[in-house]
Amino acid sequence: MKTTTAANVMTRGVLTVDADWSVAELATFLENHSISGAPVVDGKGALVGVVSLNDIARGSTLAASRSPEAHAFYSHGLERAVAREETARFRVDDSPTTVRQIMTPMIFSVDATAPVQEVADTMIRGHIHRLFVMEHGNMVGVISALDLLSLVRDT
Amino acid sequence: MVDSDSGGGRRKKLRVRRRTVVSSPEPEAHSTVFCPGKRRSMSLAECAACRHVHKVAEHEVECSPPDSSLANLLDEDPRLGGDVLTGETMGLQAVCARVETPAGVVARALAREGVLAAIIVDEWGRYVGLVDRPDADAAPEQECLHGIVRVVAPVREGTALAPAIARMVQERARALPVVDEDQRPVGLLSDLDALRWVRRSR
Repeated sequence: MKTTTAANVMTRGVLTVDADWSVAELATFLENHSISGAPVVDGKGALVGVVSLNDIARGSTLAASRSPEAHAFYSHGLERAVAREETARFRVDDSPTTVRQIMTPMIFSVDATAPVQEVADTMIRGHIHRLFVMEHGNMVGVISALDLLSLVRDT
Repeated sequence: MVDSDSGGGRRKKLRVRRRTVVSSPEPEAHSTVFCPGKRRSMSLAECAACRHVHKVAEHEVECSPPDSSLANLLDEDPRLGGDVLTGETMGLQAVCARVETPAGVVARALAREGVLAAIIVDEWGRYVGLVDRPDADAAPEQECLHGIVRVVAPVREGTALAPAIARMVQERARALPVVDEDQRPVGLLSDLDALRWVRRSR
């Protein structure tokens, strides 16, 4: 019987933001796409972190001083719709700060070929509700605990 | 610690769950155990009085439930289907609050306990809705939880896990509130709690 892998279950087409964008560009992007955050890629397209609206709010603090707990992306996802008023209150228009400076450079991932059992164990061990899926070093999707539970429901 | 001799069958270990109520001036912590025999959560004092219980400790209760009890499924060959109960599977921590609680207080409690959402209750302690942690985080200066409480239908602790999983998947709900027969919250079932049980059973 064929093993179900992360690639079979993941969600493709994940929106990403550029690490060198300004915080103002990030805020506009999040607002336009009605999401509260996104994975961050560098100029070569390599995944380098995750960023959210809360990171903009905390923009003045250094990444190194942040809480050691996993970024909200890994627990809640970043689909929460963001209202214009929510980004407006950060007043980021003239900020020279870049996404790279406020993002969380913490990446939890599995390989696209990993069996779903292994993916589940990674989530359980790390208390992580979602993981990036990598193929040849590139992020190709996201997989969540709910995606895995849907397999249980369907069997 | 309580130690009693109940005799009876094989010993089982039940996890102690902690529910923190943050509405009062000082947070109150309530420790409970889900009894698979009675299919409901109970206080440690009530649990300790049971003749099947051998030991009640801070994080764990040892008991020898009757063979007919569903506790037989705890240590060997647990299955989904109708066998596993939501109350057995829900998370070990939960945070409860009244709607009048400041969002910042709830956000800090959720961060401290590491749970996805706060369970909101009315003045009689009955379930009202959920506040997700990102929503509490996004409103740190809000003086109450009005406007960010999400109404999510709860699941009963004594009902089967499988339909709860189906609901989570269908509604894309990362967490479901778990209540007793009087609609009082006893815990929170997260996607990872359910996944953990599924991995144990397969």
